[in-house]
Amino acid sequence: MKNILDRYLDRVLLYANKPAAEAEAIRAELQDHLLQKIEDLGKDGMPREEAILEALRQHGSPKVVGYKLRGPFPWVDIRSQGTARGVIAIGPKAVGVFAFGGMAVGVFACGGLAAGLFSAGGLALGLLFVWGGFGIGGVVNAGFALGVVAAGGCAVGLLAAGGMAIGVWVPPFGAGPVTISYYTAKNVPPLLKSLAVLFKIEAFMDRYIAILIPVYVLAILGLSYLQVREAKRTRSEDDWLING
Amino acid sequence: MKLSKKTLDGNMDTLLLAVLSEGPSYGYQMVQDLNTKAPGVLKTGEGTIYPVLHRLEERELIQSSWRTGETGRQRRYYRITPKGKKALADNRLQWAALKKVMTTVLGESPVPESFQPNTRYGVTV
Repeated sequence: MKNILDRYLDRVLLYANKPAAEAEAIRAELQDHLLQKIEDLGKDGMPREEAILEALRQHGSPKVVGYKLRGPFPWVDIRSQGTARGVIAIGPKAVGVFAFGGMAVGVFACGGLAAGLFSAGGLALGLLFVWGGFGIGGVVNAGFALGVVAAGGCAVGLLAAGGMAIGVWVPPFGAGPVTISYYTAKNVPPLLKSLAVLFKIEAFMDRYIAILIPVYVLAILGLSYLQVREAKRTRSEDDWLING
Repeated sequence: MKLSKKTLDGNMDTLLLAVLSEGPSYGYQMVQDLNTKAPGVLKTGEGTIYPVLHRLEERELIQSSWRTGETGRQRRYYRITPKGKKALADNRLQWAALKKVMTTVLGESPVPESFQPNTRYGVTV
């Protein structure tokens, strides 16, 4: 049966998720620290059992220590709790180049609340392409779309198209039942007219949406699967000290 | 008033480089040194020193080697590299400059009596 120290170190390494050789080195280093601490507390007159618990308490939560050992920005960071940070980041909160999570921030962000250059989600904010329930950004396709080029159920933008479109200019081919527009087709500036090509090329918007829908669905499924797997992994071996 | 975790985390690199600039050391000893100079700085998070040390080593600011310690256990010792010394010198200058700016703008303000230990680190500087 493992002693309390080993179980603590197991848990740290579970969260650290390092390759075996590296994990062994970390274990040896942390073990040396803890044993030294226990010895010193013992010299101060603390009973051994109490010294062990005190050493562990002062060493910190295995979750905190373990997650910090993962490094600042690994290639892949999957977490079931806290903020994942990595090139590919998956977690309740995620920050990365490709970020997937309840709250995701990245170049490509996908999640309940997503912010990035390209973003998709319930509430999506993006500089370039945005797709979601409520979208704000450059080219936006959303239930409620607010952007330079906006298309959706309710679209507000420099160029807007949708059921209810409010824009500086609503192109005639994108106008829905309700349109409010500053420019008309006759006096629209050439720049806006050329941007409207995005709407006119139906294939563009169709393809854009056709790509985003499966990407979004797959991302959500993948995200859920990976998070459940991570949660199982960190709980399967030993429930002890899980929140300690 | 508390010294925030964010403030401490952001400067742990510099604190550890400063400790190592006094000579090679190992994790536990560094914690003791920090606690002597700034009591309770790592009171409940001693283990969080290792991620910082490993990161410093990756950046080649420190080097580590395994040796048998006084207790007979294998112990990982760290020493600062020339690159680390330069980084520490730069950080000292940055701090001096920042302190000057802040003091100029805010004026001298002593640590108040009400200063309470941080719940995580128990800082009592």
